[in-house]
Parts: sequence; C-alpha cells; structure tokens
Amino acid sequence: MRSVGRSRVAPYLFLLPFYLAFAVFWLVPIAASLMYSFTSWTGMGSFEFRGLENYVTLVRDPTFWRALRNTFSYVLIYNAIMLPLATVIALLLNAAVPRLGRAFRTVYFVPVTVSLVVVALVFDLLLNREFGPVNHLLAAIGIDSNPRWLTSSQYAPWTIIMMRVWRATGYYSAFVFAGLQGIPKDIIEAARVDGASELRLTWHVILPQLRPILLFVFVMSSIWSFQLFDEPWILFQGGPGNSTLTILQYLYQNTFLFGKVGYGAAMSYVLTLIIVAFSLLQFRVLDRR
Amino acid sequence: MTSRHQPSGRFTFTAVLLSALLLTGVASAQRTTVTFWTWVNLEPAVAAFEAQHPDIDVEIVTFGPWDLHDKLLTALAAGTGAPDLAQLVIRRFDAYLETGQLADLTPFVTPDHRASVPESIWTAAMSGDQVLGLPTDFGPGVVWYRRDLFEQFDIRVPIETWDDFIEAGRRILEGTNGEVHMMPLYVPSGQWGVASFAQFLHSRGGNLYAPDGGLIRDNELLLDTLQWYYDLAEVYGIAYPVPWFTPSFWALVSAGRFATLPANTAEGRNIQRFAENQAGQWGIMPWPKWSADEPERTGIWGGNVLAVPAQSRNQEAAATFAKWLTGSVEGQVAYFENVGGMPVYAPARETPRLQQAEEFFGGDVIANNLLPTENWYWFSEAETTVLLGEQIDNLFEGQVDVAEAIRRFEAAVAQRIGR
Repeated sequence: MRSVGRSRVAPYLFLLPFYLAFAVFWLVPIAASLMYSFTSWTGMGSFEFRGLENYVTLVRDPTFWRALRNTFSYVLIYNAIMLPLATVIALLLNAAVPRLGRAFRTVYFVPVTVSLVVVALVFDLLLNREFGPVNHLLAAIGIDSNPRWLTSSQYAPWTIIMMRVWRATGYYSAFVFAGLQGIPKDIIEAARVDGASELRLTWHVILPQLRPILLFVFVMSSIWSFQLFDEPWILFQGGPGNSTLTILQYLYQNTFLFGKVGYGAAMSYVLTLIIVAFSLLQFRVLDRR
Repeated sequence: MTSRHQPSGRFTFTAVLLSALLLTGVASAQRTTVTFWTWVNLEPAVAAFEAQHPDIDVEIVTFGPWDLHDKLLTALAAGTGAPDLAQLVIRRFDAYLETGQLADLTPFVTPDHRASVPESIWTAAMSGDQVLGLPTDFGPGVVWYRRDLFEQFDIRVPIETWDDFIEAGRRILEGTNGEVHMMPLYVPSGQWGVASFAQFLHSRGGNLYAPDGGLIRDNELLLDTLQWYYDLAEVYGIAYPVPWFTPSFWALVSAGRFATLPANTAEGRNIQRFAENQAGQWGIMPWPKWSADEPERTGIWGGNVLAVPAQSRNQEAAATFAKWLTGSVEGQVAYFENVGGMPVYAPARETPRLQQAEEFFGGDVIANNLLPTENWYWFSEAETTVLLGEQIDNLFEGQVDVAEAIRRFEAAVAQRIGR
C-alpha cells in the first residue's frame, strides 16, 4: 500500500520543480503586474492604490490611440504583403530542383538570423536620400519624388514595413514550405490527371490544403507584429511625430523612461487582451472546419 | 620505494595548494570589491586607481547606457541586485534624486572639488543640500568647423554671432551650388535632436523649467529659439535635416557635406572616427553669441554622474573610487583619455594633456574653446524630451507653426507630467 501511494505521488514530485519555477518566474510577476496596474507605482518607493484610474487615463490618452492605430496598421499591411510573398516563395522552392531548393532555403532564412541593429543600420544607408540606392533605382524607373524614407511621417511607417517584410518573409516561407511537404502527393497527381493547370492546381488544391498552416503563420506573425518594437525604436524612436510609435514602444517609454510603472502595467494588460481577441477572431473567421 | 614517495608527494602538493588558497582568501578578505556599472571602457583608469588603492578592487560591468538605466531601475525597485557604483546620464538623474535610493555623497566632496565644478552641474546632481551624484564630465557646446571651407569662402574665425553664422552658411551653400550645408539639423528629433535644440536654448540663458520644477509658460525665449531653429532649414536653407548619429549622418559628414557641427565637446572623437579622411581639415571654435551685446555663453549637451545605490555594502570604497575619478586631476585626465568626455573638474582642464594641441583639428585645443554656462533645470527629462520632440517633428512636417507647437507642448506637459 505504501509503495502504491509513493508511486502515485512520485510523478507530481518530478513535476514540482517545473511548476515552482513557473510560479516564481511567470505567475507571480504576472499577478504582480496586474496589481501594479491599479496603482501609481513609479518603480521605486511606495505606491498608492488608484483603482481603474490608469485604465481610464489610457482610454483618454491620444498618444495611446495613435500607437494603437499605428500597430494595427503594421499588423494588417505587413501581413497582407508578407503572407502572399512567403507563400509564393515556398511554392517556388517546392517546385524547384531539390538541391537548388535547399540552397535557396538557406538564403531566404538568413535575414531573420541577422542582428536587428545591423539590419536597421543597413536600411538607413539604403534609404538615404542623397546616396542610398533605393531612391536612385526609383528615379531610374521614373519615380523622381525622392521619398524621405527616414525623415517623413508619410514614409517612415513604410520603411518599418519594408524592413519587417524583408526580415520575416523567409522565416515564414519555411513554415509554408513544411506545410507543402505534408500535402498528400496522390491528391496533386489526381488533379493533374484530371487536367488541372498548375495555376488551378495551386489555387483549388494546394492552397486549401495549406489553410491550417497559413492560419498558423498568420496568427504567429500577427502576434509578432503586435509586439513590434525593435525596428521603429532603433531607426525612429517612435518619430517623426509619433508616426512610427507602437504600443510596445509606448509601454516601454512609460514604464522605463517616464517612471509610470503602474500605467505601463495597465497598458500591457490591454495589449494582451487585444492580442488574444485578435487571435480568437482570426481562428473564428479563418478556420472553417 | 615508489609507494613510499607518492603519499609524501601528494601531501606536499595538497599542503601547497591549501596554503595558496588560504593566502588568496586572506588577501581577498583585505580587499574590497566595488562593482561598477558603466557603458564606457575605463579599465586603464581603474588600473591606475587600484595601483594607488591596493585595498580596493573595482570590477567593471558594462552595459549599453539605456540598458544600464533600465537594469538599475529594476534593481532599485526590487531592493536587491544594484551595483556599488553606477554611471548615469545627468539628464535622467532627476528621476533618482527623490527616491531615497542613493547614498549621500556630500561628505566625499571637498570644498575645492565643489568650487572647481560649475554650479549648474552640481544643481542637477543634488537633492536640496545633499550631493547624490558626482559629475564625471560635461558636454559644453563648441562649433567644430571645416577649415578648408572657411578659408575657401573667406569666413573669419571665430564666428562672433549666430547672425554671422547664418550669413557664412548662405555663402557656403551658394558657393557650392547647394552641395554643402552649414550644419545638420536632427529630424526626426528623437532624444538627441531635442538635446541639440536645447543646447541652443540653454546657450541664450533659456530653460524649459523653473528651479522649482514648474514648466515655464509663455516662454518667449523658447518660442524665439524654436523659430530660429526652424528658419535655419526652412527659411535660410543652411541646415540639412538628417537623423542624428546614423550611418547616413556620418556618411554625409565624411563626404564633406557639412561645414560645421555645433555640438558638444565629445563629438570630436566621433568626427575623428567617422571622418578620418578629413584629418587636419577640421578646427574648433567657441559657441557664437546671440548678438554682439550678449555675453559669451554656451549650452550643455549633457554629461554623466556616478552614484552609489543605498543598497551597496561597500559605499565608502565605491565613493572613494568615484571621488578619485571625478574630483582629482589624475582621475579626470584618465577619464578624458579613456572616454573623451570633457573633465568637469576645472584643474584637470589646465593640465598639459587637456592643453594638448589636437592634430586632427589643426592644432586647436578643445578645452580652450569652452564658455561659461547658465543653470539648466532637468525635470522629467525623458518624457519632456519625447513631448517636445513630437512637436518639433510636427513643426518640420508642416503640421503646426511654432506658436502652436509650443502651445501643444505646454498642454501635453500639463496633462501628462503635471508640471
């Protein structure tokens, strides 16, 4: 009897270290930050309970809404460009000779491995108005407006999107490529036997089969986009005129730069709820089983 | 024979090892280790200090400057994990002053030290009468200028007033068919664009805040300076908008596209680093006056302080090192040599090292081009910078005029900061 009791307890004892660590490093900080979101804490000294004041201030804060609009713009526009591009690249890789495909897979994955600071600095040089090659190329094809990619609120957000698309497309194309390998070959062969062209095959057979992986990529990419921080921070610090300010940047500013830890905590919970709601919406709308 | 010697050999080895460990432990126990968080390479300076203070070991831990501030904030909030000594930028120091988390360093400041550092710098490092930070360096504004261009266009050095500066800029712009601008203007502003603008405001005796921390409203000097700043690019065309300290900014500098860089003293090292092809072509001159009748003054870009967290168990040792680095000629010269920051302790600026002619700058001496500064009051600097930077960006985007930019800035400070 005693040995049976011990054998029932043993698994839980083995799991205990993980749950202890989880509680200490995850649950406690999450609960603590929720508590801080109802206070006026600056990060040092004592704090005062303020109820829902931080959340009310958030609703009335025009900079928060500007950051939220910017963030949603990034999420939608970036995904609208990246997802089709990643799919096309994966399809091309899949259709190419296997050895060539492996080489290209490596090349397209490189951007996500490069340090973000290096990427930002290189894009700074590429997009420079005076000597950057991008504006010169545009001029060569007849676009003479010489866009101010780095100094204009009209173009700066597009600079961020370009950087993000360049950086992430290869990474997500790897997921789509993996999904393509999972499509049963007999379905494709059957479609070819029935006379389907490559375009009809892709549109009516392959893409529907890819739906689960595309949904996964869309959700993961959206979550990453909602947390956009590095690119706009390194290049613009939210400027010009808050045109590139994201929610996570604003959260960082308030928490670490302005000393408004309570306000930053409230913002973090609002951001979490937004991400959860958006993800659920994506699953609900796009995952028709 | 062998079995008799082995135990003896092993015993001897063990005895020697234990003795060495014991002696090391004893020696360590007699030395105090000071953990020093910084973002600059001060190893040579630390070595010089340790040679004079064999009882103190200074262990440097380097971070990026803003990482350091974030981590220190976290450690102070947690009540544990702070170093014995931390370097902080003076513009952010007000956030730490009223927290009660820093040790009082007043006993470590001698009357000579106090008198030899500008009072405007002490103001930013004190809470009431308590000294909570020891200033290491400061960044007074000078004008780095291209000798060859000034000679080509017959521009007299030093330039006396900013009106003369604008006139010189127009001649250079016209004479180079718009290729060379007199100076850069930092857009988007970001933190450093605002710091650059603030330097101009400060140099004419202006401020954003009063000494009591209240925002100066209907700030005529701010309005006039911001209009002047805007006009440099949009009316006179002598300033070229570019983000500060980006690769493209330094590419423009090394391509010879700017005739001057009105900037702080530390910028000289960056010019040498990024425009090494222009050795001997640059010179240094003092900050121009705002009119012929006004006094000679410059503005402060910033500077750094050393602070001892109250958590530290080695406060005296930490303060001893800080005092050496900030309040002794040797320490200040070592700081200058290691980092390039202009010593804030006046006697250090009179030493042969600081009076050394800079070959890159045609034999000019940086320390001989410094001018007095008025007090500048840093309050809620991080948020103030963001709010002012936003309006400067809106101004240069054409969304507001200068008066509206300042009105919006004042409203935002009142609403967001409550000053």
